[in-house]
Amino acid sequence: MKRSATAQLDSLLTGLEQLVLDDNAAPLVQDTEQVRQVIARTMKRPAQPKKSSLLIEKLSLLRELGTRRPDLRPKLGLAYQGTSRPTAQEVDALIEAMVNAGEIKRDK
Amino acid sequence: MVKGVPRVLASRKELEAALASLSEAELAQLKQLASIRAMGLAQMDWSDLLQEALARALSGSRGWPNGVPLVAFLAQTMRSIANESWQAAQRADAAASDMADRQPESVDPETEAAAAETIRRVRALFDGDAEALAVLEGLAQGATPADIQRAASMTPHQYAAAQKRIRRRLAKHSSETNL
Repeated sequence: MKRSATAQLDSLLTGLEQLVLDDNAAPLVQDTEQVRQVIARTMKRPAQPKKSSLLIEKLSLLRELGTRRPDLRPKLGLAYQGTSRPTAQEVDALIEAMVNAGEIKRDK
Repeated sequence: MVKGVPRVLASRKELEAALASLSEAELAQLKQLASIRAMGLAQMDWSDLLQEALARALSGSRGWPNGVPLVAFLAQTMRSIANESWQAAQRADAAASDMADRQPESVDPETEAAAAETIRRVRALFDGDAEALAVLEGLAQGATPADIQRAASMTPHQYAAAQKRIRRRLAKHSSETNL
């Protein structure tokens, strides 16, 4: 049975990750300052695990729709145009508007 | 891990200390791993992915088991987050297509197309390197190194050399990914 592209991609990326993890050689010179900044920024943030995960979920939904269904944006009167990061409030407003418009359903 | 023996998780303090003492090589590895997993994610770049993994680890929602290398643990966490993101995209497609009643295990055409496009982009990084492409193809099919070498008529030496080229290319790709 042919494997789905999604399964193939996961296997491929996992294989590439393993190559990186197994690499004992000195890495090529890279600017690691950005990584340090991400770590420092995250360590300063208060812990909000569930909210963070939920926001990721909502952002995912919003960006997918913003990219793939531009026709929904004017219909829902959204400020977000799919080219920049929306605020949490915009995401919540979008989700609410989409539910009310019958575009999506809430999980039971 | 020994079966039946509960894992001991690191405290936040231990995690913070370990993060603060990551070497340059480990930081570079983290960026490479995040760049790999962010491939094909429309809604997250490498830094979003790394930040979310760190946030989950620091909050304790994702525990770091003692004895597991920190970089490997964060790689696994990023993989989980990326998979959640793909699943969320699939749900969004279903909702947008009025197919919310679709069986959860079914494969969404748009997600499949996005995954196929991502595979194509990964392969494009290795255009002109037949052995590297053969290794990638094998990885995508879940083949073992021995199977890949046999299928591509590669010697162990050629296989190791192809792996080395793949690592270099990934490192270059990661250094170019400065979103």
